[in-house]
Amino acid sequence: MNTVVRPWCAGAQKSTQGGRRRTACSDAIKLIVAVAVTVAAIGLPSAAYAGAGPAAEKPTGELRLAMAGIGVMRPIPWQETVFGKGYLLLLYDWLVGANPDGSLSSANGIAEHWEMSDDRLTWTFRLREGIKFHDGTDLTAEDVKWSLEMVTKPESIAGFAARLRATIKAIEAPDPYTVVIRTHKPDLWLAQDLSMAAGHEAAILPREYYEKVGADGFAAKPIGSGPYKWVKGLAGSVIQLEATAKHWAEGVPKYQTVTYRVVPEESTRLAMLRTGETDIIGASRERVPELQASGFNVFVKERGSVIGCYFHQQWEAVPVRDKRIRQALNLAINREEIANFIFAGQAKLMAMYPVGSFAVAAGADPELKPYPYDPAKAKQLLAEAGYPNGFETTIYSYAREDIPELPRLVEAIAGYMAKIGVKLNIFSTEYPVARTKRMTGNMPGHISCLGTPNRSNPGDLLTLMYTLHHSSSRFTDHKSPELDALLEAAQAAGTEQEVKRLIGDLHRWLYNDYATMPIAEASIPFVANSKKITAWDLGRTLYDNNDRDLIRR
Amino acid sequence: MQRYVIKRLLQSLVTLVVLSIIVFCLTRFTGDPVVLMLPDDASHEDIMQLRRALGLDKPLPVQYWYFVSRAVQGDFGRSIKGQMPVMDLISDRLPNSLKLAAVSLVITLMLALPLGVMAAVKKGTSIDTLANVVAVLGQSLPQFWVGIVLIQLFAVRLRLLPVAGTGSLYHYILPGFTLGWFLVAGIMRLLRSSMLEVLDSEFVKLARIKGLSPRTVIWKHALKNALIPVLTFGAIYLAILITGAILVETVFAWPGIGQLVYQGIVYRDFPVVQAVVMLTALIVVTVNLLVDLAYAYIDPRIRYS
Amino acid sequence: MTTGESVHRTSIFTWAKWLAQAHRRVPIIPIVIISLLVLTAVLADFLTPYSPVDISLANRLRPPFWEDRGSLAHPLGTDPMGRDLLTRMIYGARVSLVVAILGLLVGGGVGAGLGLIAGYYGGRIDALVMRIADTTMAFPIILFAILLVVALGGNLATVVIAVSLVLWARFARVIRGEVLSLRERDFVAQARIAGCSPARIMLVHLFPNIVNTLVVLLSLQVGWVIIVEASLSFLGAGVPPPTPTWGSMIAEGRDYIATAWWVSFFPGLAILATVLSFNLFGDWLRDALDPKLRQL
Repeated sequence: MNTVVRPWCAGAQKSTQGGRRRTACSDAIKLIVAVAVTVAAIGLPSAAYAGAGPAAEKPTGELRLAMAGIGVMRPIPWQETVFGKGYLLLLYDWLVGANPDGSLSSANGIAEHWEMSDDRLTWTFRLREGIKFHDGTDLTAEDVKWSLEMVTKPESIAGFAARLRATIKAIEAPDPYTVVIRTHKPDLWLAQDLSMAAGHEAAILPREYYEKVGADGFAAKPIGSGPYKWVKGLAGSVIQLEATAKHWAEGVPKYQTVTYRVVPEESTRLAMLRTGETDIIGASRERVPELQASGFNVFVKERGSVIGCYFHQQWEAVPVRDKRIRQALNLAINREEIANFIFAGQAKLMAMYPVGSFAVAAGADPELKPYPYDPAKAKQLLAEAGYPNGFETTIYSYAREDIPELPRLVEAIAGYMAKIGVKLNIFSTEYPVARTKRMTGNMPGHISCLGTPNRSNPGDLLTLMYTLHHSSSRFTDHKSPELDALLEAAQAAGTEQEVKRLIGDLHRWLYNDYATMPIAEASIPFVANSKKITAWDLGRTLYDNNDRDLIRR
Repeated sequence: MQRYVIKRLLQSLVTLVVLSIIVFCLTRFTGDPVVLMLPDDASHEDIMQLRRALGLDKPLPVQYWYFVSRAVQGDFGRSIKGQMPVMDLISDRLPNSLKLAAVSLVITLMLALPLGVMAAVKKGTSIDTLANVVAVLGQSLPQFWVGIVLIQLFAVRLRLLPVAGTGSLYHYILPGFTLGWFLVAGIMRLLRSSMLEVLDSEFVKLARIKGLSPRTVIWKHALKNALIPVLTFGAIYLAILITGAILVETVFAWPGIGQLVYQGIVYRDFPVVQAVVMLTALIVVTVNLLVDLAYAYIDPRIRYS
Repeated sequence: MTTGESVHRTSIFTWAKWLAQAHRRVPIIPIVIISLLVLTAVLADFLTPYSPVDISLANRLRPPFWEDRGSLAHPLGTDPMGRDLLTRMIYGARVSLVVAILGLLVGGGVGAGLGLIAGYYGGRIDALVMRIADTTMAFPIILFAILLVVALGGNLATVVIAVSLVLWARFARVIRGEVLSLRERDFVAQARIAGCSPARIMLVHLFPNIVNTLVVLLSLQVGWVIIVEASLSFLGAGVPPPTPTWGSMIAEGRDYIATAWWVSFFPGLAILATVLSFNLFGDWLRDALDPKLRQL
């Protein structure tokens, strides 16, 4: 090839090779032509597509969430705590589906139909056909039976495992798409307990694959039937999921990848949100105003958490054994101030813990008013009860992912109590330590505070009240025959109506007894990048934030 | 020499055994992990069953024997909370800790070496004081505070570096600096005093007489010798950087073993805590042993002390 | 001691002479700060009308007086629970100092004692103590402290124990080194010949000669203890509320960096100034008393 000298290439000669002389210009021309051809090759068909009707939907982009904690981060329901329900919802399907408001649904659960026998001892679930696991195998009644059996084993750490074990007598799979469950006692709530609105016990796993690779193999590469597949995970740090092509209930997922990240330090999470390193974070309520002002979208699970404090072991010879003392302590704290300042105004007062405003649907009494703030009367009651100079006891302080304000709350409570002469020594520790002390009965007359989801389902609420108040429970603070009788009656009740009535009675009984020290119902805020996340219905189901809503188009 | 080697080996072994007993007892002293794992309404039988399954119902000496006999084969059991083999947990996270420790050590040395040398050479002047202040500054602020402020400054305000996690080389800079700055004062002080000794020694004087330029004397000859005492502390620093990085790991969400051990302690996850402590001790004891042996080889007097 | 002769008692005159010689580079500012700290800690009750623990939620997060919404009633502002920041810092000085003193007394005392014994007897005892000390030094204090908190609950005693458990090894190591070099000296041999018991030798003859080292070490470790206390508070394992400590104040304030910077800033400044002062002071003391103490 001869050198061709063009004015703008003057001096741009390159070396020769075997007789052929090349110039930078000819190279440049070749490059331009190559690029043009490539662009045309790609662009023209695309342009053709653009005019050719709706483009094929595909998941795109990445959704990144940063939370303080996400459970154990092991994708096996019987080895995961309820705080991991979020990512489990994306990996698996549940036996019974649910709507965001907590009611059961036959649209997004494996069971398309279920019914309870007249004697309430047998439940029959008719499964949907055609659901496949990520490896292509069919989801059948065998998988359901096996999953439920695994999750109710004694070694299972799932939150409702013990309750299900006590309820379920036997599980049968008479044909590939029918599951029959027999219960020990008449149970009104089995479908509810096995639904997406409750815990994660009813997430269904593939039996054959699990038995082939074993628990550890499964945890490394889990297979489910949910809208997302597992990519990789590092326990305690990160979980990465990728979209399946299409889910039978959720359709084509919105994002190609979903990443859950554990970032324990809140200021770091905030920084990540500001720099765009993450899309959604869990934040404490106090941060919400400043983040809203910075232009982020705040999605709130209104009154999602109920927060209150316990008077432990009231049957012992301790001051809180006396109802007047419990009343005094309840009158001594200024709940308005706490709601406004400690919870940054994102909390509403409640009458009795753990019965929040959602529980009105379950029979709670809406007429009960929150206890007033009356330190003078509190001091008077103390004197009446024989403690004119107050008394001393312990209150526990620990960090909890779901209540970051807890240490400050405890400080505030101690401050209020000091004003009426009750000295609360703050025992600062880690939550597991406090929990152990409680379970082993080492907190006579002490006070500790906790939060729990605001429950709307009668069965859930009843179980919680049973755990907290029945004399046989390890967590109880009461040994009252009257209370026991009420609880047992509610458990044995035959209709939902009766249960709700009895729950109302329980509510009033606890309220008049000053059984606990309710603080407030607080909303649970999540802060998100406003350009990326414009809508999110957090729902009212327990322990999850309707994660599936995020990935729906 | 051989007798000394054997003596030191035995001592190291005894140390490890004693430490294993201590950590075994200490972790169990904190309480029962089973009660923490199971849901609130688990019955007594459930708890007993899980304890049996985890081998926690056996008498302590038997448990200890299981622990040791498996540990020497590299099996540290299963994490009680995470329900997976401890070695898997550690091997997933240890590389992250090692990488961060290495970067931190490099940053520390990059700061401490010039500061130490300058302080020694210009002893008594304001440069000496200034170097000292800069070094000591790293020890005068809590690590978590330094980390948080650095994030606000370099990541949020200036957008120069990422906030947290791993992923690129840039992710190492802020945590590495936060972790490393803490050790600068210690190493710098050591280097300074060691340099002062060396600069005073015969062979340096000889080098000067020979006419070598001051720079060569300082950086080539004196520094090499001055670094020896610094290196002896190397093992301890490495161990501290690996297991003591919990604050940095928390602030920067770094997936290292500091967080692992911390969670292990809080949840009474004995196998995890035992494993991490024993592995760390093994590193420290081994490096100390090697260093001592090296010293003994070089300086025969030590063997007979 | 400075000239290598067998002086076996130090007298006040020699002390004064050494200090006078070192006056040229006396670190005035650190000494002033340290004195201020001690004074504040001692006189805390008289310095402020407010209580450091009484909560007043309506008054929370007021900025320092030079910003709007701030006032001279609370010159440095208030914390998230409405307490006066300056008051809390004043009382915090007391707590930080108490933690440091107790930790150093226990840890330094035990460490120095063990170091003395190890150095004097040598041999197996020495090897045993040193091996344990080495491995203890490698174990981070944070983990010790969490362990103790999980077992015993978080309070002042736990912090002091945790601090001591780590500190003793450092002291033991250094003191043992000193004793090793001292015990070959004439005056020790003389004491042995004279029939003094080992205890007497250690206490009466050896100890006065290691006092210098001890003092330098103590001053250098004060800063470390204060920083450790702050780190423990960050993890929730420090001195529990409502007791004010600088560390817990910084830890508490980290959530408010963007909105209420003063909550962490002033305690942080206090820690910085105090620890820096102690470190610089300790350095100067070391140089003044015995340049040979370089390994510190």
